[in-house]
Amino acid sequence: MQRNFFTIIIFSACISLITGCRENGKTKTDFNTDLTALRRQEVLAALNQKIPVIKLRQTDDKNAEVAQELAIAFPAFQKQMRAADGTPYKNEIFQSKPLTKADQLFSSTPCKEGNCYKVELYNYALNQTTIAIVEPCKNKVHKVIDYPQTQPELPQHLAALAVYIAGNDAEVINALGYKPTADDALMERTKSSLNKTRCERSMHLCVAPTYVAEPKALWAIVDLTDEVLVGTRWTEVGKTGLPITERRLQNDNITENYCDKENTYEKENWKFSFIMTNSDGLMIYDAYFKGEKVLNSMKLVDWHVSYSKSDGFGYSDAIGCPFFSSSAVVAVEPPEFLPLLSGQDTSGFIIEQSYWSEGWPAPCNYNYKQKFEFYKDGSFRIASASIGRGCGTDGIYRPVLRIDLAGDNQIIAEYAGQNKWKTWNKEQWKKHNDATPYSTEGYAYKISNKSNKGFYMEPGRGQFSDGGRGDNAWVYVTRDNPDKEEGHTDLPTIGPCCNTDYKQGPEKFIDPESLDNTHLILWYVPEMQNDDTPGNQYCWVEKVINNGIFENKIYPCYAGPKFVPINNNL
Amino acid sequence: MMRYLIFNSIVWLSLQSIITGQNSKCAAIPSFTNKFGFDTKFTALSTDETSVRGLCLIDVRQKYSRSNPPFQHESWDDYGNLSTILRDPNGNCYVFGAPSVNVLYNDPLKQNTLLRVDKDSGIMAPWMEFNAGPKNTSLNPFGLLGIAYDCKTFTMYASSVYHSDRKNEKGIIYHFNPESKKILGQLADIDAIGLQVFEIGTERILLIGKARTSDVYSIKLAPDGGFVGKPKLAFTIEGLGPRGDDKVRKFHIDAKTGDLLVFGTEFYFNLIAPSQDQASTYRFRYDNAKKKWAFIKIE
Repeated sequence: MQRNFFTIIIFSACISLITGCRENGKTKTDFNTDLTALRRQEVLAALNQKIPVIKLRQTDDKNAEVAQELAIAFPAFQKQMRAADGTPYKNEIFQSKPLTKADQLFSSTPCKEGNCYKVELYNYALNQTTIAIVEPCKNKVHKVIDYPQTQPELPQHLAALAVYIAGNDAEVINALGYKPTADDALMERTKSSLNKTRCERSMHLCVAPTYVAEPKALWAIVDLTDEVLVGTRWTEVGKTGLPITERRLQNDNITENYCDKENTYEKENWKFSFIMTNSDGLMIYDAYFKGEKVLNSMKLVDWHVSYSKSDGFGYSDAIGCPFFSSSAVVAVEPPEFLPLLSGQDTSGFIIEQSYWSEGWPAPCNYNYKQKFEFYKDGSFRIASASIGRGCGTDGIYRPVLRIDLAGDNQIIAEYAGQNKWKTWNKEQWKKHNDATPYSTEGYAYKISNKSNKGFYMEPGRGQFSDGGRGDNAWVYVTRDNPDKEEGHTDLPTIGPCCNTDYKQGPEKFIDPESLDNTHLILWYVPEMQNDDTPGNQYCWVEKVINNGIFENKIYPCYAGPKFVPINNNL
Repeated sequence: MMRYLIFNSIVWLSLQSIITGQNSKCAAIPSFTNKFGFDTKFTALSTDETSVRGLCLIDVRQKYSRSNPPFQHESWDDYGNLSTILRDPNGNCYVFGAPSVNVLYNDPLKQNTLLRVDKDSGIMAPWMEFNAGPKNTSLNPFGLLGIAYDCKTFTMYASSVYHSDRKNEKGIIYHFNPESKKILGQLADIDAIGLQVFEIGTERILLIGKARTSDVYSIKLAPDGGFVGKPKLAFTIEGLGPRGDDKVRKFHIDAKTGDLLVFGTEFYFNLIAPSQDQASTYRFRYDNAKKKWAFIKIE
């Protein structure tokens, strides 16, 4: 039956070839129709087909349709339309058009100009183009070639979709100061609505609708794989510079707004500053609660990752700025402010920052998170998580946190059981384990001044409702030495990857000096054991296919202590 | 799977016909190779082995691991992760430190030092220190990023970004005599990685792979190797390859075709260590009629 169908089509298609029918030219973006909703329907419909592919929009060239059908039915052309387990990828035919003299793909085919068609398939998940050379009149597919990491020329309906996504995004509307129409995304000089761009990090299909507002132009990078706006960037019209791409846009945004600029934030009686450092992650500093300074700074100095199956194998990573820094895993997107929920209630807010290796979640790439929680009652927490994937399934992650509480003449005491607190008189460290005593509230340390103002430290033992399973941390206390390089400025890597004992770096600052009448620095190094066991994943990520494209299912392993004001504090 | 070093290098000692060009065509085999018991036919110097840090000698027929590491002289891991290896006509080898992932083994204040491996003893030691001094090491942990040897003049070129920062391109390309250690000339305010002396007919140029952009510049060289005029844009790899924003870290001449093979890598002055080999090689050919470099393909 299928063959008969093709025969009929081919007959009419050959006639059409003689008359020289071609696909129509440009289509315009219809802003009155929800193109993203239509697109979702189109994608879902394709994914449910036997051969999961979005076909060409209507064309007057019947040969193009025949060529498309022949290509789609050809095994080599469809072999990567599904994952190994049969899950369909999002695939789309971008064009089917006659081969031209310029097409070197002629070389090993019997095609003459005009009798063969080039059918281009784009696989969004794999970021791959597959080209079939088809001779419709002979019902023959001559050649199929895969081009990994390659993207074909964009068809008009996707250009229209990109303009629609950009024109309806709040970031674009805010940047322009008005809601643009489809015509606004037309560059007068080039008569092209789109600038070419790249999404080098995500390896997604991206284009940049550009809005000219002399003397400037707003580039809006749209990701057509995820169908979202990546970001915007103003440029000066007529000036040549580096092309605006996903990575440059992201790097510039982080660099200009968070690495080179100090920010302040105020909410729920809290006020603090923050900055992205070159190697110590996002640093919160000069934090006040109800007008009283409670914190000089808190930050993450190092990530140590070791693999238990390979002695001495692992990495010591710093996190921070993406351009000019000592960081191995860099910030790509701005910090996020989120509500801190306790059941149905909001008990404060969170500032969260992510860091990516470029290839994450592929093996040997990393994704780290920092989280700072600020509670309405004046408590706060510094926490961090790995989201895998690392170089193995036996990774142990050890982030090195540095906490500098405000105040002088501080005293630190550890909970010794039976409502007793034991003061530390010298710089030292302690490892927490199951035998460590905690107060009934869960506190392990009390850091206070002579007026008993200060904070209890509550280590993580799985009680923070964020998936954390307990910190098993080393706690270090050192005397503040502002004249020495002990963390007032960015610290270089202070410890190697793979020490399994207390030698995680802070011990270098322990002499041990006396802690009498001094300002203290707390160091906190939790241990998180990576687990990929189904149902028990931790510090882990899995790449799953959802709606034809890859998504990341994440299993963060948050760890970090909470600081709770001593009753008479506030 | 490992993370890759991006400034690494492997230099075969005897198969010089594979890699020619001014960097290697006068390179001699260091006599320490025999002294250490290696058959030079199958030996390479490498800064690319993941099982050891620094320089090592490898037998290319062997596979190495942490339990079976390649040969290292005791001084070869003293300077952390290393980069490009060059050899001179006497067999002395030149390398420099290049931090990767972190600065634990590469003190940022010592990255502007050219190291030399003595051809006879095999001892690696600091040979020349270019203008260093205090700086914000967390902002820029790098110093030298590229070196080239000129077999016509027996002089060298070294690119340093030691004093550069986000807003200031303060890199210097030094021209110097590696024997007398005398600086013969310098190009200021240019951050560069890949360097290679290249001959086009009677003209000699230094090709310069920029560190901030994907551009390759060239500057004419005088008969004594000195810089003539200012660098000019020769070609770019912007938009090419899987990433599109690679920086040129190395050049080779294809001895068979005379084509220029350009090696790119991702580089944003940070310590990202990619988990995929960044081995995008871009083939360019010089069009003598148009006096232009033409992009041929990616390999």
